[in-house]
Amino acid sequence: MGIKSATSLTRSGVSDWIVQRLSAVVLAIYSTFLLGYFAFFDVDFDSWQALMVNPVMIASTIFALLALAAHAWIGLWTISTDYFTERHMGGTGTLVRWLFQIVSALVLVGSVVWAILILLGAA
Amino acid sequence: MSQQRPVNLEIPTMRMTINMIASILHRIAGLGLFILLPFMVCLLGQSLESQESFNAIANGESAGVKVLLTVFLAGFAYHFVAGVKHLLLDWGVGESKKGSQVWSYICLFGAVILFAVFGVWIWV
Repeated sequence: MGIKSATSLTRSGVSDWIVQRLSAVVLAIYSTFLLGYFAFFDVDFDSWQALMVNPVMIASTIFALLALAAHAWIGLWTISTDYFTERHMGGTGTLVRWLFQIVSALVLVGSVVWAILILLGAA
Repeated sequence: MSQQRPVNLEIPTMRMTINMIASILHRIAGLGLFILLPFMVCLLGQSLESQESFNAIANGESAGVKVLLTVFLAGFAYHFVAGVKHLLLDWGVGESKKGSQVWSYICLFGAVILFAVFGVWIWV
């Protein structure tokens, strides 16, 4: 009896693996840019706001946020299915895993939506 | 493929190695970054809301914000360095028993160095 995953991001482990890598590259580029910006420029409120409301930057940030949601979900799904199992936790394992995944999904979606609203509100 | 595969997941029986530490730190860092995500989004909002709220962050007026940034960037430093390692390992770089040990040391030292840079930035 095989176990079919119902809450993984895609239906294929290979797909998830690829999405995790691609989103990691997107996030690495975005965060390196942002950290470099803070490192090499004197940042004040006006220049920071100007950067974040720039249309190209808004698009890049939203792209990075979506990549973050995918990347984080795959990671959280992996650890929840690795550790919160009936094998480790007995009868309550499945319930704990479901609750963890539900809360994680809400936190992820909520954070992404909130961040997008912040960006659009500042624009 | 056989459905009856042997399973050995009794981690407490396994000898602790540098590879295990490096590996589990990557997961712990990832989980920590996720837990702090809502707080970081809040910080983003604060930074864009007004000159005053931006200054409060930039001038380090709140110890809480500095601690939040420190913990977040600690997790980020490790997760980023180990993440790059994973990508390079996927490409086959250092794919040997000795290589994986070297990678583990690179992750640990690299993350400490990166974190030290962040720490100086926040606190000095």
